[in-house]
Amino acid sequence: MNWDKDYNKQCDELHSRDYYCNPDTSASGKKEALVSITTRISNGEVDLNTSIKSLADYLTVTDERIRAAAYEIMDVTLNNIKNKQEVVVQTLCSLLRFFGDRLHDYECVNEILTCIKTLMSTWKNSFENDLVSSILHQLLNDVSIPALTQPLRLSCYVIFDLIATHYPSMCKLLFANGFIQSIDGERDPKNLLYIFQLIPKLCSVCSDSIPSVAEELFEALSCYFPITYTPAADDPRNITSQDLSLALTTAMTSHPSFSTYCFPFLMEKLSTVVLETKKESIKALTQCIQTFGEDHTRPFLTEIWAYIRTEIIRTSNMDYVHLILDSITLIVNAVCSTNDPNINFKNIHVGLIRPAVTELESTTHSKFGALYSRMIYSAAVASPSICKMICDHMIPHILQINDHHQHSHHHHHHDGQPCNHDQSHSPSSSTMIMITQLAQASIETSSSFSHFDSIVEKMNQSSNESEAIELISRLSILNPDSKSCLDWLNRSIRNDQKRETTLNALQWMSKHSESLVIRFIDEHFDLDTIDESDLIVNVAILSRMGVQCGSNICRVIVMKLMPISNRSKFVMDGIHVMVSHCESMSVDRTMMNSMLDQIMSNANHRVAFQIVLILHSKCDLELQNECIKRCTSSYERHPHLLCALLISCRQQISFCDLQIGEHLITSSIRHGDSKSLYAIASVLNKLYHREQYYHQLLQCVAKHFVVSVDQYASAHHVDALSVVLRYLYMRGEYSVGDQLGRVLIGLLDHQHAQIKRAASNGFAIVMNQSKYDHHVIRQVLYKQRFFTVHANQLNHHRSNSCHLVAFANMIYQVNQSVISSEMSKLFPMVLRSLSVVEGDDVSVVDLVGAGLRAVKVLLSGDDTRNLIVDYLGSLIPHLLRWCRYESDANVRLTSVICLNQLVTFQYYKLHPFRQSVLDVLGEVIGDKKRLVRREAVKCRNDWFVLSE
Amino acid sequence: MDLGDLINPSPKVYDVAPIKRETRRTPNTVTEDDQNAEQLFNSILGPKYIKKPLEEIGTIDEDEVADSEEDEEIDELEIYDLLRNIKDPEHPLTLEQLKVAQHSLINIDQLTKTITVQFTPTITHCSMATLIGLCIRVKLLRSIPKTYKVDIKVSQGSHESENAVNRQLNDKERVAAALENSKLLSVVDKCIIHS
Repeated sequence: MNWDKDYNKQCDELHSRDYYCNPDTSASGKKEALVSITTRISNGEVDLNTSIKSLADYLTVTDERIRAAAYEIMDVTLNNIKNKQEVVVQTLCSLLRFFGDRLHDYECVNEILTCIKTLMSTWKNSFENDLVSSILHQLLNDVSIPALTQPLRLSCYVIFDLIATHYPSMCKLLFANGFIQSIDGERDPKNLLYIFQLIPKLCSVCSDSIPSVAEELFEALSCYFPITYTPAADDPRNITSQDLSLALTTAMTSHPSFSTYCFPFLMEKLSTVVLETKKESIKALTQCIQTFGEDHTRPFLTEIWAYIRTEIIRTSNMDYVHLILDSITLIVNAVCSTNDPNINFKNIHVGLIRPAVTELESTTHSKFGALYSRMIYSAAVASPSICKMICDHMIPHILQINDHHQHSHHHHHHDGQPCNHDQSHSPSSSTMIMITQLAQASIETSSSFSHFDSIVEKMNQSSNESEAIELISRLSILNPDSKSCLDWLNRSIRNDQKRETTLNALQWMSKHSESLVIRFIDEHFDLDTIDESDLIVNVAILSRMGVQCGSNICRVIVMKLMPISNRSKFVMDGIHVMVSHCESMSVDRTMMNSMLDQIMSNANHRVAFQIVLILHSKCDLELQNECIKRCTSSYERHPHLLCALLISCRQQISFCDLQIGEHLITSSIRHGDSKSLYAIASVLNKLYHREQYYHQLLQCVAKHFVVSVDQYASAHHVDALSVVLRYLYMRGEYSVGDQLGRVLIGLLDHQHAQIKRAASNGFAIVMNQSKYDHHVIRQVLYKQRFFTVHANQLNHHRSNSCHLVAFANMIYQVNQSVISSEMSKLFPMVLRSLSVVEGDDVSVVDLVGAGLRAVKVLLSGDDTRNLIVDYLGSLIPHLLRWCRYESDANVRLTSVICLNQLVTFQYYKLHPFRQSVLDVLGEVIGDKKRLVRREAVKCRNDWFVLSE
Repeated sequence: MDLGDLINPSPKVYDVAPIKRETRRTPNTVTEDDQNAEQLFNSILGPKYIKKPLEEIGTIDEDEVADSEEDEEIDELEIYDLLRNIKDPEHPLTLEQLKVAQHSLINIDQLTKTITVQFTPTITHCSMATLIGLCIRVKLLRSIPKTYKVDIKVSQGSHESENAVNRQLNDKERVAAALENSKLLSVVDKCIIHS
């Protein structure tokens, strides 16, 4: 039975092979056959020898399709054969030799290459050098690699790679047989990336043979520079332009012998006109110098520096300038890395330091002084030793130059000739910038700075310029013990012209040494002994410093100012400026407590409330709770403080002391000022979710208002009532709201005109929005509800003009759709408000102003304006009357605007009024107010060009 | 008038920069000492950090015309504002963009209530000069009180037949006759409609 099975198996095997090699087999059939072959091989049912034997005939037939299929089966066999390690080397060698010999079979070269690749990558070290060298020879001579397809070219490169890795001695042959020609014209990004990565490997494996082919190889590579590649959106290979660019530069610098060609090539590229090429070139140049090292770079260095100087001076692109400056740092680091300080110095002296000194010496071209300073700075920050070296060499020179310039400057003046140099380009300012940059580099590299004293001495002689302040700030950090620098800063910060520069310098200082700035504040701002006017100046300066010098300094200053806040109102103002501008400032327990202490002892300061709001909102939950607890105990004396804390605390904090809530509300109602009204809002907010308290509290609010309005009857209580009414309506507390609304309407009939007026304005307050309302969960349509309820009630009291004002105050702030349905009832009321005559019991300006605003709003709404057409006959005469109203410019302005809004009505409706409108506007264009005139001109122009 | 052939097919267009009127300081009610201290404090703080007045709850926002009841007389800038947006009859550009009208070429004598407007045609042989002048005339006729006398001239040396154009523009009868011509008036209206 066994025999039978074996036989069947062999038949199957033969069958699938024949089937696969048959050119007439369909693609799906081939696929099936290949799967069956693969399974059998990987199961170990067929060994390599058997397979070779069975395929031998096919591999040499004349039909190239059958040959190709046979090679494919060969490849599958090699890939899937079981027990790869046990295959006899002899077999493999003869197989490889066979494939090598068949490479001239160009019709099947694809399959043959694949087989060779599989052989060499599977049995890496199994072949003799002779065999490998002959394969290499055949590959490079029998096959035209550039003519192959992309995956096959890649296969060739992989074979080269395998040879380079496992048979390093063969590499020489690679170059001798035209490897460089084989990569010629490669354009596929994946293959290029492979080549770029292969070349450094080749360079390291056969370093000796590279110099002879260096020029050719570098040329083959450099033609790709600068490489740009935009991958397709769905490119699966995931190769980026950066990968290619980096690999190319690495390849270009992979052997020292490239340096001879690389530097001149990159310098040439650097001087092209295309900015992107310039950028790539400077990056590559930097990498070359870093890789080739000082000894290979030295012959080119002078020239390289000259190119870099030219580039930085010529360009106007700041990105490029920064790129060059960064490169300078890297280059300096690379070329100054030898053990011999003289060589290090020489490497940057000729190309960088000497030109900079020459630039400063020249009086004619000093406009590049700042640029050279930045270059020297970039060089100096490379390392502490380099920084010291540059400073030691340059500063004596610079000081000498400065002396010389000052001398010649004075000399000019003695001659009586005017000095034509622009101040910012004058030589002494260039030298100042240079020293500043050197000082800054010394600080950033924390290297020692030895010429401190001589510079300070020179500074004291020189004229005071903004550069001097910058320099002094740098020097002060270099020598924190020096008193003279801080004195200098103190003098200049008190000088109006130099203050901004000094503040910027201090801002810079605070980044490097906060402690020094704090010492400066301590030593030069002694606030205890100075008088009132000096205090204002000091506080203002400190506040500016606090805003600019970061959160820690700001904190220090706030803490310094807080204890003296009772000495002047400006102290609190200063603190307010700082806390509101310095968002990152942290607030801790000490600060908060000292703030609360101050406010409790110096209560009712006008900005204290705001400061507490800001500071408290920055505290953490625990601290907020603590503060509220602390203020709750003394809430009777400082209700405002508690209000501020309640408004600014987080939502998680609960506050449900009904008694305090009630007290806060009653005292707020008594005070009636705006700050107190916050209390009601904050208490209502806090108790919102505690129903049983909340409703009690609402009743308490209502009760107190009814009582207090009767009792005090002053205008600000009416304002307070209106604000509370708004709060209630916003929160949807309609029943209590309506109760208070009736009180407000009742006040319109009050005996005092002042109260009546306040009540009518109250309707505007209710409908108005304030930016402080953001903490409220607002009910939608609350305005509409207020309007519908109260408009009806007002409508019953037509006689009183205060009701008209109240009504007009509401109408212009409510949604148009609410009004349009009741237009026939409402618009006559508006018109009546416009028909008042002087001497009525309410101010004409209030009434007409509100009426006109209502008309303006109604005319701008699409729904309502169409309903106004019927009233034009009575509306226009009113508008014409009020646009000449002498006593109030706003009334005139609004009526002109309303007239202008009319022009979009149909022509035949307006025509009857046209002449009279134009006549009246002819007067209004001579109005004494410019804004009115302007509107009138616009309006009159539009009425003139009215057309059908 | 045939507008088919352009007199100056490619006029030079200038950038338009806003001109600001110097604002007068409004008188303050606080005492002088307080004010000085406030000024000193704010001057050191700089404009960026000056605190804004606290907003009171319950105030109503209104666009106030001005606090003071002071009279504001018509000035050159106001006249310029009226003229700057008049369209050129030939191009979709304003007189300001073409520098036909310039702020510096407007002069007002408040004593005699005389406004003198000079304008500069884009080229010296511009036959549109009278039409532009007419547009300016009509615009000012509609925009400033009758108490002012308006003189309109082409600026000196800017036109070949300067005198003839000036005479035509300041001749009441000829202006009135031109405005009787409904076709001409509609051209003028087109130029000033959005100004």
